[in-house]
Amino acid sequence: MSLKRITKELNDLGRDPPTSCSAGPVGDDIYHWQASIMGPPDSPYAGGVFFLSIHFPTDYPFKPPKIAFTTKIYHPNINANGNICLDILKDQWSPALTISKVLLSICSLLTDANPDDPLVPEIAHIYKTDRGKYEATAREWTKKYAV
Amino acid sequence: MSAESKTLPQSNFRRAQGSQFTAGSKSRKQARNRPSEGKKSHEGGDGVDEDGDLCLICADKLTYVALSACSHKTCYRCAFRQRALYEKKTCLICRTENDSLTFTDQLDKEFVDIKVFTDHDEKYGINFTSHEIAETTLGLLKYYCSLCPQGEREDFGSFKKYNEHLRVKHSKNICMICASHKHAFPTELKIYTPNQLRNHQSKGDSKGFKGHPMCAFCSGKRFYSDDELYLHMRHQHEKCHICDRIDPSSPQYFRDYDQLFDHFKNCHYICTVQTCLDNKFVVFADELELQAHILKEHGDIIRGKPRLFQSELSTFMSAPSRVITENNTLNNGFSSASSVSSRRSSPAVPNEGVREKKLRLEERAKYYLGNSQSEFETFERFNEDYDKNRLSARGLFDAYKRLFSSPEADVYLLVHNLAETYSPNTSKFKELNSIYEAHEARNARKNELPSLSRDPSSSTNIVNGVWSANNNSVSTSHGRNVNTMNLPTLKSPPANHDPFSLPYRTHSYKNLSTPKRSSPLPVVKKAPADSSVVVTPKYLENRQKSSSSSSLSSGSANKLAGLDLPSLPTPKPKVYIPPVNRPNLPDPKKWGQKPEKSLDAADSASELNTGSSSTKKKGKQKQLLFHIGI
Repeated sequence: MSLKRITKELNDLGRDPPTSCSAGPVGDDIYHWQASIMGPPDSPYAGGVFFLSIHFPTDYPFKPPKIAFTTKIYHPNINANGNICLDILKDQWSPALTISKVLLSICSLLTDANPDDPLVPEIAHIYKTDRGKYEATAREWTKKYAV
Repeated sequence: MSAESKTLPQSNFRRAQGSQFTAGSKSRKQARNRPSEGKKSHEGGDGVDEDGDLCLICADKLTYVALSACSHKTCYRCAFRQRALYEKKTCLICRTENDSLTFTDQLDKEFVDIKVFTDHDEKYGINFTSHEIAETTLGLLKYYCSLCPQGEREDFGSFKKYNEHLRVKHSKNICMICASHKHAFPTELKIYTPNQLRNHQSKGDSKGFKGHPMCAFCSGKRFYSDDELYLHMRHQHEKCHICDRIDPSSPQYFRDYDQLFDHFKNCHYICTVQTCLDNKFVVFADELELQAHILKEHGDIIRGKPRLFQSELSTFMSAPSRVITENNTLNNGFSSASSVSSRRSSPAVPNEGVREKKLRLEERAKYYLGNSQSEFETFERFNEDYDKNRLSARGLFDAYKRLFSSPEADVYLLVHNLAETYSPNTSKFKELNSIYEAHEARNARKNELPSLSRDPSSSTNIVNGVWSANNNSVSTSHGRNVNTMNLPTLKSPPANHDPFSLPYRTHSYKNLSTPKRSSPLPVVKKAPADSSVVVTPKYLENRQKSSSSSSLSSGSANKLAGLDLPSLPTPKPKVYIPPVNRPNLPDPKKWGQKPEKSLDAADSASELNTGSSSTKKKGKQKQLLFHIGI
């Protein structure tokens, strides 16, 4: 069941790629993808190209895909392992969501972080108390790891 | 046929995907004249009928559909799986709770259109428009053995009995782990020979499935997926939270608390006070944290028998390398965020690999070109021309400029990414990188940002400026601020420490010039890492201004001092001696006679800074004065 659905998503992505992200299988394992997200222009991640790894569970789409950043990024909702704190990847997952939509959600998470539900409290604290410092650090990390 | 079926479903899927947004759309004309045909192929629908809609969830062709009050349409299998196996009544698409669904073969109807039902299932809240649909749907839950002849099949009622039948009658099995977790209908489960089953569980037998993971502690116990294994580990076994903090990517598990405690003893710093042992998990990443804990929680014990305690502490110096890294992060004053960066920065960048760099270049180009295939090919042709020396770096750059006309396109970043695909000592890397660097330098000048890594003289000026501006009130937090403001432009890890030492030292000069002799005690009481820094300037007090500025300019010596200071383990005794046996403190003779024996962090620091023995002597005498002053 999952194979068919994943193949469909892949075809769809190839035919009509979203503007600021892309995704596709790594090698011949269709359950393991690599994705890339362009840092949104109106965020401190602008200019960066961020890579993510996607693992589909065999129960997909009834279970959410496992998505993590492989490029280091300074963000209150993304930790040092690249794990993303995003509700639609956990309990708010819906089988109707696609990789393309999830990647767009992650893009918007980059623009609008959610410091009230942080994965890295230290960054969230800086985000809330000293926005300039947060942006400077995020820009620096972007330049260092994602350019 | 097969080629057709490969392309056509895409467009169907596209339409199916769109349908969730135009929920009430009545524009599915293709589906209208086809239900009888569809019925035959409700198992798979692989290219049988290219004209039908596809289920949004499983991408199978729709035969019977499930309609909901929220106007969403899925195949009957997905909807029934959600209701019967996942036991949820939420809509698969919009998550609305629906009490009842309509299962029908009239693909073009909406939920409200259908009022006449032949069957109703109370348990799952489903209305059927024909007996056939009801039978097919509810039949999914039956435990029929597909190996028995058609007429003799019986419903076993549970996976256990079904498996038992398979084993006795056919010498085969189903995977019971899958049976209880996969949320699959009985007929969807594969039937295995014992060997196949072993293979299925240990290595996996289908794409995307790598076997059921096993717990390393509970012999032979397997779990459906990593998620279930993780839950088991969390509930049944112990994880070292200290190691987890140091390197969260590879968690260390232990069978039980006894094993974990052994690990604590060997690798970390446990508090050996009985109450803490009873409380469990009173363990620290480094000695400093442990000392802080002891001072805070067991202050009375230390006062009673300090000697004993100190000797106990010394037995825990077992993981020096880790202690040093942790000390560094402590001194930095940041908790996880910056320490993680400093620890991971060096390996992360070189490990990225050429493949990823190339991918980054391609992704960036595609993005700038708006995914235009022809333009991307042009881009690749440019790169090839450049690679084969048919195009100069400048020529390539100009070609890029012409190709990437969109406003957000940053040609310099492309050049940078292309440069990175060559190894750093090739001429191609150098000439491409010089274009990028020149642009960066221009930008930096434009933004008037201090570019520490490239222009050391200007950076020290800036630090100087801040320092002299706040002559009287340079607080610790301010020093940190300066520091982090400067961090972003730094390139290499050692350079990171360079500006770092500066604000700290200047801060201590300032602090000391005012209080001077009035309060010598707090200085002694300070944490070991600090004390070394704080004491240093006293030796230099008279020549403070001149020496400090000279040390600023002689960057290399300073860097050494800045790097070495945190890792010196010696200041430890200093913390304990003063409060316990104060009368012993005035040891001026000892100090004056053999200075090399008291291997103080302060001494070594001053040596590094000034390199002259005369100043050292002067410093000693000052110290002496202080103690007498007490």
